[in-house]
Amino acid sequence: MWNYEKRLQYPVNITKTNAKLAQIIITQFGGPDGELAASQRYLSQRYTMPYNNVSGLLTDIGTEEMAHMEMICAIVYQLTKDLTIDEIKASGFDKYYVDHTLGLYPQSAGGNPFTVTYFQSKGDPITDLVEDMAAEQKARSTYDNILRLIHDPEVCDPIRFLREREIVHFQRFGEGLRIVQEHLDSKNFYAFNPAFDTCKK
Amino acid sequence: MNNMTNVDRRSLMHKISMVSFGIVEATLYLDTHPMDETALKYINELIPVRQSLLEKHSQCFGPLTIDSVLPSQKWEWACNPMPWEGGY
Repeated sequence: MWNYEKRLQYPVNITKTNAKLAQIIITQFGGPDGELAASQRYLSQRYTMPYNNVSGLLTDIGTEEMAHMEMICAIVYQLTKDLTIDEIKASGFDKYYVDHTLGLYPQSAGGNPFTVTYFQSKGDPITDLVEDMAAEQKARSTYDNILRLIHDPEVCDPIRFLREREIVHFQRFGEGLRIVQEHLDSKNFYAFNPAFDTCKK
Repeated sequence: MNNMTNVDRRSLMHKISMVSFGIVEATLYLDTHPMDETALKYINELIPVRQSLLEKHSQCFGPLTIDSVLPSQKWEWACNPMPWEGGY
């Protein structure tokens, strides 16, 4: 169960619209390494994670990812607020506009709609956590790429915050992986899958 | 809403953001270091601070959480602007 808190995790106050930027940043909403995929990845994987603190970690990070998705949506929303038809045409936002007007739709920067095939829920704790660590790095690279493309400090500031969270999450998932391995046979971590096989009954 | 200004609201939101961030960060850390005394002390200090800041926000500018809604003539929860509208 979840409760909504009526605030952004980190403030987003963008005073100058820029539809070109919005089309790039929307990829962190519905793109391959975006926040929607991140939240659903961790929140799907957590059920079969056999250790309480690691399933708790997946829950807490998955929850934070939803707050990040809201921040990304706030950035895109503020970058496209009150655009005129001329601005929409000039910025190349017309292709998005024709299908979604100024509504928020999860898609990649290239225009591909969000697909759940962006992530896996393998039901094997080592496999899932290694995917999660890679996902955090992929999101970090995406934020680095975004920061190379944009210069507006009002946009860079919340993007830098989000980038930094990827690094913290990567660290925590690494510790989660260590915790999983401590429960396993140090001579062969793959001797059995603790989310499926039972070693003794 | 009393004599509170928009500047007061922004400064209160800033405090709420900082304290809440400290709690999120400590939560993740404690998930993988559940016996860490320093982190436990840190989060236990922050939780009541956040609670009282949320209550103050509810009194002066409307609730940010359902748990801090105060009895009133009007359903304040739905009356305030959504957070993506900016202003903080």
